Amino acid sequence: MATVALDRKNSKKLTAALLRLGRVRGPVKDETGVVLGDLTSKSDPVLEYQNFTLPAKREFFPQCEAVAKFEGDNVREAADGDRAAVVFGIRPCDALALSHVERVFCDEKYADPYFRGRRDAALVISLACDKAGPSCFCTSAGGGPASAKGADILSSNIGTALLFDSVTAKGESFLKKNKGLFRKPTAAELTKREKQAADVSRRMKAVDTAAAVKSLAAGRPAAFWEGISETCLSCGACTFLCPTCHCFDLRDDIGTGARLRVHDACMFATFVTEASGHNPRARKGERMRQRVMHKFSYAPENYDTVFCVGCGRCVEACPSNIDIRETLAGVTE
Amino acid sequence: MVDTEKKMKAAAKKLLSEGKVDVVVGFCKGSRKNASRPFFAKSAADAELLVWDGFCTANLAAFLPRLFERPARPKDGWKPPRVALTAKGCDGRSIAGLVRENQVPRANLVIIGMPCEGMLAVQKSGSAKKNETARACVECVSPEAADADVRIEGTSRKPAKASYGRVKAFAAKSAAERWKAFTKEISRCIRCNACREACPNCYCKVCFADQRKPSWVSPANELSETVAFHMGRMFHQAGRCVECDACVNACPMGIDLRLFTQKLAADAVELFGFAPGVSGGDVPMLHTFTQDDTERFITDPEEK
Amino acid sequence: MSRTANPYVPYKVRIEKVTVENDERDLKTFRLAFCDPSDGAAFSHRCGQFAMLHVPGAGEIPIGIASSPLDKGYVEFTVKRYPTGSVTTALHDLSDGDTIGLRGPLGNGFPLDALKGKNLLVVGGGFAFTTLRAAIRYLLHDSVRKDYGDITIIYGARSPGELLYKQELAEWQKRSDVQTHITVDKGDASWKGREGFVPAVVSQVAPSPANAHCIVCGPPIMLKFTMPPLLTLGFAPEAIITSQERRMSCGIGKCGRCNIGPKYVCKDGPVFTYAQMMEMEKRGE
Repeated sequence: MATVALDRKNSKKLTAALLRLGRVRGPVKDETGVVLGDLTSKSDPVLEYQNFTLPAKREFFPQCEAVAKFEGDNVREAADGDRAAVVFGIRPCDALALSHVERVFCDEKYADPYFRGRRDAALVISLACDKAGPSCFCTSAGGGPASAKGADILSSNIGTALLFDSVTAKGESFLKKNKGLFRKPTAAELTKREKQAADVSRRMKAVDTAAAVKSLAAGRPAAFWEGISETCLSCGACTFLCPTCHCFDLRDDIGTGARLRVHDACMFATFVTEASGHNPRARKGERMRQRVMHKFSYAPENYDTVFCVGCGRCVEACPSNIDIRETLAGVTE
Repeated sequence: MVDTEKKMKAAAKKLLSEGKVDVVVGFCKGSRKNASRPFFAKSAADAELLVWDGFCTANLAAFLPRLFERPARPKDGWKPPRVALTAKGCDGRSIAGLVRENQVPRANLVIIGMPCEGMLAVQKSGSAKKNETARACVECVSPEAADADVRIEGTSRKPAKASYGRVKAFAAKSAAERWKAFTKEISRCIRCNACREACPNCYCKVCFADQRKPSWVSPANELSETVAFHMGRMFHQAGRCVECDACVNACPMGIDLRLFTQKLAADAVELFGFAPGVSGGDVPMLHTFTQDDTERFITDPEEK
Repeated sequence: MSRTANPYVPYKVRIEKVTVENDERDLKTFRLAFCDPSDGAAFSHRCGQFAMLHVPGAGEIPIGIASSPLDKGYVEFTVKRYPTGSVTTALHDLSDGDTIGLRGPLGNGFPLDALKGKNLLVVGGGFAFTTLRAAIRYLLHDSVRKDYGDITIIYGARSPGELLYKQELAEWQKRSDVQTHITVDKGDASWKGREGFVPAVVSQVAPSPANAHCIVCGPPIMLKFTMPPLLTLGFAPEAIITSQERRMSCGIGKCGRCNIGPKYVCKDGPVFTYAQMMEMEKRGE
């Protein structure tokens, strides 16, 4: 299906069309900046932001979700959570990350019905980037500022208009059903979009991820990992903000009468501590190794892709400014 | 500051090349714009990378409990390291607290007292805002580490007078208003534990929030659990928090934890005359009592 | 959506019988029956697989299935109680008639079908013997025994009181179609059997590696010392099969916790060959 355009001044009509599908999650301004929040009929979606602090995975894999409920001495399926019908405005990095997380949560053998339900219910409209963030490196991590992977529709903001491209059948269906909203883009608009994406790509410093993956497959000595994790606080900011990190724990919560799936982090000191007290990853270097290897060695081996989308959140969030780009460069030394 | 940096580097190199310490904990240039970051210099060559500028915000004392912890699988003949640390006033106050609580052997520490003019405010992104002094530094009552072994010459900020004006203004609001403001702010917490790990005082092997038998706090995304975590952590800071804002700067959600940590700090000063590392003596505040310690919170809990 | 399609929701099972296995009374075998018979009919496992046992309120733990797939009408698990473990302590406090949850079967299991026609050496130490017991019960079943060659069992525990499944051990020792060697690290006044660590007994018994595979389960220290005699006897690393344990949460390869390198113990394991373990160790996992 060809690209369609929406004049910026008509964006409220788009909001209305989206709201007809159900709950819409999109960019809203609050005291902290622009966040992914609930759009209402009064909302004119904000499009001037770099990226949301929190990753889009939280819309499909929430921080805390009941996966089973206790009823007397029975354990039953949990009810469906509050699902969004539309998730709009996530960046291409977050959309790509979603496709990675989906492969873990819905593999050939076991499908996580809660993730699946949320993903199936949502129309994901990503928004291409018109500028690179200070720590972005998506072009070195399998993505790009206008990458469509993982979304149902890819949109681009070229100032006076929004351009839309369908990526999946679900996306195409929405654009077709609402064709009255859209018009054909001009040649100039299409060119502007291309130029914008190229500009953003050019501004990003490249990271030789492929070389790092190759080097990691050969292994690095323990001293290397001890070295890069020296100033790590084992805090978990990186993992909680990472759009591809998916580690979780299952905990019984008597208070809410449910079995909860909660975000967890391999960087936490007690992540793999056993009941006997033995901790296979007692050292920070071992935990750092696990994180980096999972993303840049095990994922390539198991899924043919790195589990990093170059969004730069970990670089910005780390209290010790440990930089994954430097780690990847260091791996090849 | 360039001169200060040169002098600091020379001191660090001397300590390392003379074998007086195994590591100098300081800062090096960061990879983020407007950021310097913690760095462990273990040789004179490493020490060449040390910096001193307006981005040296982190509280380096947070690394001390980790450095002095006996490793899980220690190599034969493991001994605690000898550590030097480029200390601002806040680092110094934290170190005093860690020594006071027997977490760090003072004899193994060389405190390199730095002249601190105040650091630049840190944005949520982790990078510093140019030309805006960090709030913690504006309000800092002791910009220089009190107990330095090596003192680097230079000008420091004038110590501020502790006023806790913002906390007092907040405390004057109604309980309903305060609860609303507190829960609104704290509900953005994603329980990543960055605040806890960045805090030099949070060195417990098993944090109360991670305990399982019994489980005091669950990781559920319920307001009650988030509140329980933060209130628990705040109260564990009473008489210990040095108001360095390490937790505030570490928080990826930009939560204003200072409003709450300062309440505990203000109470410590008001009720016990205790400001860790500044006044009140050397015994941890809650480890002792005097006859005239207030009991109003037991006898007249409703009285303000 | 059917419950079996939701991998997070356990089957409801009832404790039919609890057997205390050892003198220290911290090892109990729980015989479980499915509360819904159709769940029981649908449940079918392979030896070496495990299940997540759920004690509501306490949590879940991964435990190897100790009964054979041919033991109809029940599933058995032998669980050690760790004083610091929330779930094992809660489980040990339960009795006949109490209900718990079961998610499974999970994991890959021993490749017994592929080993038909081979001689099998089964080596176990301590309470890691549980899934081996499942395998032995299966292998010695009337309908199965003829499919395999010689079967040799070497099983050791710290002391006579710590041996699991004492009654079955005695029965196996009476059989002529299996060679059973039981040993203890240190005997007691009434112990008439063998004394010696499992690795030493392996060397003494010296089973032939010809057309043979070895399945060995035990605590890490026992595995470490049992591999050299096996290799010396001529067992190839690909022919030595073992089972790994890690702390687990989901048990279905999603929560990122139990991996050894790129492999998840819950999904790609827990059964791995020694060759695979050596490869992982070489990579520094």
